[in-house]
Amino acid sequence: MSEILDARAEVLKLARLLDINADELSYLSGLPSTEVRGLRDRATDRLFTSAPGLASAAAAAKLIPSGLVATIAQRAFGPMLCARAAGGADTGKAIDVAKRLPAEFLADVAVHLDPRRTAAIIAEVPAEIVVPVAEELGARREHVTMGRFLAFVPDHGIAAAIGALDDETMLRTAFVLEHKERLDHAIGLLPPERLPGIIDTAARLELWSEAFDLLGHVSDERLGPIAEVVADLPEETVAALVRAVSTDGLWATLLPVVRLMADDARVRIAAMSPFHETEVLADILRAATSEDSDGLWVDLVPLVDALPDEAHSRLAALVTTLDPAALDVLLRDAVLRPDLLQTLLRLVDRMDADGRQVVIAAIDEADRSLGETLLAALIDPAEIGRLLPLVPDDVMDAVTRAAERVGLTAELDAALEAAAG
Amino acid sequence: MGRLPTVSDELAELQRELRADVPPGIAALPPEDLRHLTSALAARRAAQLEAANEAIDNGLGFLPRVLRTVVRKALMG
Repeated sequence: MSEILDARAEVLKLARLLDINADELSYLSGLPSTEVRGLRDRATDRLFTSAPGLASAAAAAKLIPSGLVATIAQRAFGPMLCARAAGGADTGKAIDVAKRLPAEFLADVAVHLDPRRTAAIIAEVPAEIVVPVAEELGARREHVTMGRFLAFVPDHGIAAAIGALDDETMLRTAFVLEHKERLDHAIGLLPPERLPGIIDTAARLELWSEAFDLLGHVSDERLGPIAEVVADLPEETVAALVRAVSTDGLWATLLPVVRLMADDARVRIAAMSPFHETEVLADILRAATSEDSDGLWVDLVPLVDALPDEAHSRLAALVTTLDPAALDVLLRDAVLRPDLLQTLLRLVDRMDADGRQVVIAAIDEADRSLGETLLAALIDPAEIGRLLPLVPDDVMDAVTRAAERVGLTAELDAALEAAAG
Repeated sequence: MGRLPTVSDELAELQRELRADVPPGIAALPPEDLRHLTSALAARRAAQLEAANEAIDNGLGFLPRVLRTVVRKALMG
């Protein structure tokens, strides 16, 4: 979730805790979410410990038949006080009482519950309670409430909740999760047959921010099956997806998905027209060559390799328009992976002599570190046979000059000789 | 002449109410915002305490007489 949305959600949660209107807390809206969260945690601790009678009442409930406790909970205490008292309750008793309460009431309690204080109870809640309560919270669009619970719900509970929630609710809840580090594990509990529906829902309701936030927290292992589903999307959905990614600057999230597709799936998606538009290609290139691209080139390579000729030429032309700083980022990333260097060389191969001047200038201006890495990549014995035929003569001249500058002429000559022999 | 209240006074009041320090960004809020947070939390705490006491009293009313004595004893510790 973006920091702005995160901070807004935190203000809402604090307002709910204090039982006031969120507008009254508008002065918190400019603060980082972690600050508001810190305040909320402290206020929660204070409120949950400042009515000791509630903890005693919860403990005393053990002396009373569960049916009667359920009646008292509803008619005398109400959901907020039950939530405050729950931390002091015996786990077995709490579950037994919960089984006798309607899902609507339990959903009300969940809204006020502090999962940190009731983790032992949450861990034991059976599916027969999880399912109706999750359905009720889903129907009320209580995504924030559900998002507070994930880190405390055991796998069987998550699996039960997943079965009870529709695709839209899942996406919206994942977006506001408090413990995103658990998301990857939770995705692993998602039945594979749910994935197409979730992606389709993201497309239909334009919940791309939610979908990409989710993808950004998923490991390569879980991303693989998602990538296959994305590859099967109809072209108009891919077009919507590409638009959303461009608008929100999310290529760093989408490109790993494309990288993880099976080869034929990637060729299929790379053949779709949205990826061939000059603006889109320029946007991708900008993302991969920005100062904070964080090695995005490696994720971009499989898409570039899969582009049809026309789009490939267009991308090559765009590379020639990069400013020196962006080209420097691209070269630095590209030479770190000799096995992927041929992708860049194939783009260079598509440039005319004028276009290549930009690349030649970048090599001529390379500092020692870049020069040495470039040379090391080109003369890598495992790659040189494949790479050399792709290097145009004028670019090779620049490489030779770079070798002289960094004192690797002898190594380059020896590698060229070995390759020729 | 009495000392004018400072941010530190308002902050100290909020920290007393919370019984904890607050994150730096919260601590740097203007005095009127800190006052608002303190009074909102204090009001919530007071309302909760009153509601809890009332609920416990009402709850006891649902119990059979014999159980009421046992539970009341347990509540008193």
